Amino acid sequence: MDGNDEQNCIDRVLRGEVNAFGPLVERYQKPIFNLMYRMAGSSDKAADLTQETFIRAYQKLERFHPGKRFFPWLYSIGLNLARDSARKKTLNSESASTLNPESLSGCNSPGEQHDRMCESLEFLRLEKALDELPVNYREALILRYHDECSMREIAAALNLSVSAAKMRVHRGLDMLREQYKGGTHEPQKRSF
Amino acid sequence: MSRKKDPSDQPFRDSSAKVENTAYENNEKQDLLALKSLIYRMPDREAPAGLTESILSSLEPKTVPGWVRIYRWALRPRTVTFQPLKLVPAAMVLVLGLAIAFQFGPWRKDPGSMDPRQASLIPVTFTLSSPEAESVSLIGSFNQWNPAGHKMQQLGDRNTWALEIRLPEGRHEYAFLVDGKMVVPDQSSPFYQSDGFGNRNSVLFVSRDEPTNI
Repeated sequence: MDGNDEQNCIDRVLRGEVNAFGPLVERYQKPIFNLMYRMAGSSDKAADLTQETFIRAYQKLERFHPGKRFFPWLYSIGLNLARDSARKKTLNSESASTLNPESLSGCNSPGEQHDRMCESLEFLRLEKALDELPVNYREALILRYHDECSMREIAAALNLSVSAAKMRVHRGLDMLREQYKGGTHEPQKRSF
Repeated sequence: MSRKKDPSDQPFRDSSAKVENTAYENNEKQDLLALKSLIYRMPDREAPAGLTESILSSLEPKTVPGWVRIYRWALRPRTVTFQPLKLVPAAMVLVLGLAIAFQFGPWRKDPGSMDPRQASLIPVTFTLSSPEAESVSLIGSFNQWNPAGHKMQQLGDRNTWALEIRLPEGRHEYAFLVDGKMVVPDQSSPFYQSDGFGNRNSVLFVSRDEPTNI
């Protein structure tokens, strides 16, 4: 689905076709759910917030600027919702581990199993380090290096200027490196 | 999100891309590159099954005013692409068409045709034999006796001054102004009319029946 397909879906929704919103939900539910999971720390809460994000986007769809990418706009709505939610409630964090025993199944050799376990531990460390970063820095890194957004799209999603988005990515990477090494950098106070 | 490339294979082209080109030169840059790669490979959690259906079932069809749809249509960017080579035949056809149109079209100017108002006028040639004159002008009722109105040209024999102008049918009075000061009636004209100041003006009757040479 490219930008034109997205625009066609939006046009159809605005003509009253509810089901035309389906492909947009299908495409972006995973990154939005993961955003919500990082913000809320709970699968149930993340699912609720994801659903609320799409409903909010649907309600405001006529305000979406034609020709822009849908994802940064949706992400921005989701981030604001998650921040509002976090202000109302304290975080109820469940285990954020991605170290899943099922991920080790299917390994053909003890060496391969060891490699996968090491990788899972790396991801666990990474998630923990990311979790310690301020939200805007963390999300800038995720958008840039995981979701492969351009700086302009990151700026739109985080309501920043392009130069500020570049700075967030650059500075966030330095902060993450310090966190990941578990060394000199002081853990960041979670801020929204 | 199907356009992924592992940053460990190719550095990202952001503001730090230039720095990353030398990433292998020191540990810090290696760390950053490894971190980018790790973020890239970080597994996503799957969204709960049935989320799409759940969302769609809670939505009502939108009713958007027509002007909003028109406004959005006008805002939508369009891309126009063309290949210069493909334009060459079209340009040739256009040039050929224009050439044909100008050659045979209704707006083609016929060399023989003239303004209808001009066509209703009759050519009249005036001549005066005056070898000593430095300049001769034709003045008359048709140019309000303006001395600068019709300058006559000296012919090759150096004796004769001549001028052809187009006049409407009817009666015209005229005279020649020699060297800007002397009013001379046309000796070849059979008709004269007194100007009331002691001079005589020649009188010409222009008719469509035959060209007039004075």
